[in-house]
Amino acid sequence: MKHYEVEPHATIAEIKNLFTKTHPQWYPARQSLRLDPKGKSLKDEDVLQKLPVGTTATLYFRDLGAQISWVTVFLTEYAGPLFIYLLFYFRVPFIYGHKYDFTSSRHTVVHLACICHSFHYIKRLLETLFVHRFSHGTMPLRNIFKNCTYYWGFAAWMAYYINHPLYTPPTYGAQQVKLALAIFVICQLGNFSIHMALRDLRPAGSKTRKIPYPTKNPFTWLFLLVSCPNYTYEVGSWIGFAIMTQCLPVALFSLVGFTQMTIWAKGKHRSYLKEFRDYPPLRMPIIPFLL
Amino acid sequence: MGRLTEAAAAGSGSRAAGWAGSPPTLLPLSPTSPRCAATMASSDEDGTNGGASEAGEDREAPGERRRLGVLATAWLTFYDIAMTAGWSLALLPRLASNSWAQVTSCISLMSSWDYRWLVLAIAMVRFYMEKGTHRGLYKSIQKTLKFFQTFALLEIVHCLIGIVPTSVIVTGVQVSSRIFMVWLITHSIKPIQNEESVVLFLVAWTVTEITRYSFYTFSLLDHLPYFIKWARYNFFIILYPVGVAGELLTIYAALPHVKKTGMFSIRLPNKYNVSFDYYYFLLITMASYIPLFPQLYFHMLRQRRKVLHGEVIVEKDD
Repeated sequence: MKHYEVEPHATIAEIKNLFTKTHPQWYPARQSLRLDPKGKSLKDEDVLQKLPVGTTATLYFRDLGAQISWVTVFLTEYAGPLFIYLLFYFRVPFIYGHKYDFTSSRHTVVHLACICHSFHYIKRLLETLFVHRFSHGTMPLRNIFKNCTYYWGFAAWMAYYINHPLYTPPTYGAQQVKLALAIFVICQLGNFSIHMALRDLRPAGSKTRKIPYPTKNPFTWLFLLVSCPNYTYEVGSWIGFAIMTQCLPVALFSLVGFTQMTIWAKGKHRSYLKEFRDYPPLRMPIIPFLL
Repeated sequence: MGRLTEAAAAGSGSRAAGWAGSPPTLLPLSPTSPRCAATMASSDEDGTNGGASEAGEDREAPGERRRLGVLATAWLTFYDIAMTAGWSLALLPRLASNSWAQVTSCISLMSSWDYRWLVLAIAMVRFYMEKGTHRGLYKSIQKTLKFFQTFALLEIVHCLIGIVPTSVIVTGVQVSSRIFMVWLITHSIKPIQNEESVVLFLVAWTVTEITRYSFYTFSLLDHLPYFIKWARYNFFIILYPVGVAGELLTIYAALPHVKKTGMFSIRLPNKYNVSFDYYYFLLITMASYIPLFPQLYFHMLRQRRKVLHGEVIVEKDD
């Protein structure tokens, strides 16, 4: 048990800093402080005197384990696929037979796929650096291994087949590729529009939460039907990519991603409903009218 | 000026979330899968999933103990009785002699699942006694084995609709690994059906299931003899490694046949730009036992200490 004397208007963040001074191995990001050992974590912005405590407050500490910043995780997990795909695209030695080293595919769609895939991850990297505003600063360290395995693993698996010397182009030829490209581009623009709209909802440095609404940008009109249109557009992009490459691993990646994003979207939708009494009733979490 | 007392209690959060946290693709079946709420403590998990999830809140694992409603108990009992009736008709003629009838009447209290695994065990013993060899054993019991091992899929449904408190994923993974062994290995790869290793895992599974279903039945009836609880939490110590050894040796024996025939495999080029090599898949499956088996085993040892010796497992504290 440790005792600290603080002003009544002290925030949890300040208390965490005090705690770190006496326990330097537990930096603030890995501290979870709560009023009840089994209760919810207190937020950094919470002010002591606004909490249900008397003149003496007892806080319980839980170690969240080593933490890593969200930005670091995102950059790592997105840079991987970008780089890995290119290894396969350029047919770097030891992937395919030696007679194929550094050769180039004769199918246009393979080059197009590389451009799309690379564009997608460059966009994600730039958004991480310049667009997103994160509510949490950190996440547990073990997540970076989990996430990178997922992204890097799937990227390698997809890239292997698309850039394979024995790759078979789509059954319906240029028509199929053009359609798929259109879907992909529209969804990329849509996804970016939603990210910008969400960013504009929240002023820099704050953690406020508001209901997102459609703006003048037509891509954001999906907010009328869906709580998380960014996920909707993301699934759409990958479906487009799957049609473009006609590659089963891409379809599987889209499916897994869709499953995960649906879980997140449902969670987000639920917290919107809980937090805002006047939340638009027409909206579904991720697929208009359906899911 | 307020005084603030801070208690560094509540223990460290870095519990071994281990296998419970991220379900692996294939899991050797644990002889003691946690199911019944009666005595099995739920394996706690630190809900800190800040990672890929955008809502990274702390969540405690809900350790609820559901009381089975009348309807659920009735269904499970009916399911059991229906199975017993159906299978007794099919299998009893095999067990002609008096002594067998006495044995089976003694154990008539057990669930029909348990009953059928017991019948399977008896069929296996009789075969060995009559033939003096394990060759042909698999062939003689394969229909029964396939029928109710496949029927175990129903247990996933039990978890899904909530009349059984185990997680769907855990049960799903365990049932899948059994189905994998039965259908994708022993059924599909005929040359290995007479391997000794097949008998090894069949024996392990049979004894495990008999113990497990006895445990469930008696718990359902609220009348659990100590020795059944003891058996459930001790047999696995031997049975689990034996079963795993049997499974691994069987898969290993199957490898040459798989490689030669190229079964279950897809090659390039093809329309969907995918390939699958069953041989390498089996190699990876075997390798996956290495991280998974110890995790499961130690998890069960911990459960055993909790249940049998009432030990309070103290996590790392400040």
